[in-house]
Amino acid sequence: MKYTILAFSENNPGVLYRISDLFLKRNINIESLTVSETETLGISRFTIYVNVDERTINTLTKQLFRIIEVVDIYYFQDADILFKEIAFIKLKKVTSDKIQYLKTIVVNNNATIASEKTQIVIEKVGTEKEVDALVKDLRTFGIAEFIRSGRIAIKK
Amino acid sequence: MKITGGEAIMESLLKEGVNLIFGYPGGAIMPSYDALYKYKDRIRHILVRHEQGATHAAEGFARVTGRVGVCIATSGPGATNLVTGIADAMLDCVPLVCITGQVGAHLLGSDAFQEVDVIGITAPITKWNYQITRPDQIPDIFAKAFHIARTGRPGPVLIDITKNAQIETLDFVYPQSFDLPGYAPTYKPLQESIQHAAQLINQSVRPYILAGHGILISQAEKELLAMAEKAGIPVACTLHGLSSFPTDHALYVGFLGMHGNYGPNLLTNKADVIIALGMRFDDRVTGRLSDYAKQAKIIHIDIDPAEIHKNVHAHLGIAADVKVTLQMLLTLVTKKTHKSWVHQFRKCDAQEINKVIEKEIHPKVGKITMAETVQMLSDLTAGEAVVVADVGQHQMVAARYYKFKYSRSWISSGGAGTMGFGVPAAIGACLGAPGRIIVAIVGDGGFQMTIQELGTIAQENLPVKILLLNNNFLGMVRQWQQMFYEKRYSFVQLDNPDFIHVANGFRIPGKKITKREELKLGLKHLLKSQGPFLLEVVVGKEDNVFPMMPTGASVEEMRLE
Repeated sequence: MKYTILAFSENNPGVLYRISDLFLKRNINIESLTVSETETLGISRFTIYVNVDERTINTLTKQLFRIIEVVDIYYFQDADILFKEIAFIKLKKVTSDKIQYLKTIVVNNNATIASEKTQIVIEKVGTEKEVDALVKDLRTFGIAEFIRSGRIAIKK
Repeated sequence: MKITGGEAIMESLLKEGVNLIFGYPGGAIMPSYDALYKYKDRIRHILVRHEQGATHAAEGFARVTGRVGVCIATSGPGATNLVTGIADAMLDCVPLVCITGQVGAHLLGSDAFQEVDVIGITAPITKWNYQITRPDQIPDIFAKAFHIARTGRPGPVLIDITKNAQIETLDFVYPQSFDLPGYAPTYKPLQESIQHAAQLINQSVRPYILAGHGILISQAEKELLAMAEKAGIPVACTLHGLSSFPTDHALYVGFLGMHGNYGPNLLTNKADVIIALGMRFDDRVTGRLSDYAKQAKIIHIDIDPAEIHKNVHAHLGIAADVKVTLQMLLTLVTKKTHKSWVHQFRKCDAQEINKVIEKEIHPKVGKITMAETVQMLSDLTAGEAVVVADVGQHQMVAARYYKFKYSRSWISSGGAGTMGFGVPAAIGACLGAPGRIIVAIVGDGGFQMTIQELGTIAQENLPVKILLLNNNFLGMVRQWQQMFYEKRYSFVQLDNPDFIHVANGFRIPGKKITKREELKLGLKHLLKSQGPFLLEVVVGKEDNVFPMMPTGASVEEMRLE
């Protein structure tokens, strides 16, 4: 089962280490992890996306809450949250005869061309599934570089 | 008035009521040791022989007193030598504050001499840790550290202090309060949970209390006794729960776990309501989880919410202090007795006595047994000693046969099973409970892991009574090799030194016992000695500890032979 954990913590050095260590201890691979500021000064927000069973998520989040700096913790399934990530896909050389086809793909995937300076960079904001679909479509052009931010999420 | 960071550390310790620390000096902690020199009339420092000894001694002190144990070491290897003891304290919920020196702040990350990332290394094995790089951080961090170590589920905290922060000065003001927005252990349970628990207990026919370390930590011994007596509930103790309930009480049924008593394990699967108090359903207690207490409604009371449902699903989980919870529960439970249920335990006892105990404690022939030695020690001390055990067969035998009369009388390494724990922990226990007899029961394997602490004992002239049960084997591993690896004794035989000579070399007197008829006199000699003493008892080489619940077996598959 895939869960999104939202952990709020005091912004101290070492908290990220303690959080990631709990996943390491259980040999759980983190699918994505983002850390950002929040509306409260000094409090950081961790969005952690993991694939674990229900029993594990229950104990794991309680163990995360044991970290002294963690002030609040929640976990959700996708239906209960709004979630998105941002991705940049840099393409290898696109020949002029394929530009029109590329533009169609970009429009169809609700993405944008962020830069055409030396190489074309496509920007996409969406769910992991949407990003995956775009990447699949772009394979034919040859992908030079690809980065995705990992999800950020907010409760509905 | 300005004082140095080193002096601020000493002042902070005094504010926390600390007047005893265990440590070992070195480069990066020297400014603090220089400050300690000025405070040595108010803070007693015990110079151990290895930093691991400092952590175990601090654990022994904390376990016997209920106060925070403090140790101090230098950076690099000094800090890494603390690691085993810190991990041990983490698994056994022992409140420690460990202070380590660190290279100067401007050198952090430069691989300077004796620089080790001790914050990174100890993050997984501390309740909290923090690196101080400025002297003005000292008062606030120390206040937080002691608060975190001793409250909620206790545990070790490490403070790493860069050398410059010990040398530079600050205006010392110890905080009255501090801000820990993410830390507020819940002590009081919900009233409806208490009502629900009382209802389950009042309706039960075969209720059963499993008493853990939490009883001792929250000082709930009286409440446990009152609860058991009022509702007529049999009580079994986990390894760390031992001595929380009088062993001679009619409702005491014994010790839980892999080498625990027969009835308490077996009848777990016959109880209809299990009241688990301050314990965590460790795998050594539950055996095979899929066959553990499936018939019972489980009420799990523990201060740590992360323990509820972790290993065993609780029908009612109460994340609260066990003392407060028992106090509230006591008013709602009805007076009852469960004679036939308690009798079932006694029937199991009879089987265990017949098959195991009798021949262990009253052997007619063969070598001295560990059990008869512990039994005799128990009789000679009237169950009043503090027993500090190392890890292995002797530990299980000590847990099984010593009849604890008073609370906080059993100190051993449970969760981590740290060999070498016994002797240094006994040092801390001895300093924490000066009026009591402290007996360290050790095996020949573990003894040699921290044997250098005999030097500490001698230097401080501590009356630690060391009872060495020597079988010239790593006995527990050998027992497993005998039972599960077809007697392939792979590297478990020890070619031991002359332990009495070794002790004498440290200026500690000793005596070796090889014959049964000398045992009683030897033990008397041990107990009557003024200062430290080593009594080595040579026991049967291939004796095994029974009953036994093999790994992966169910509590119902406890073997008596």
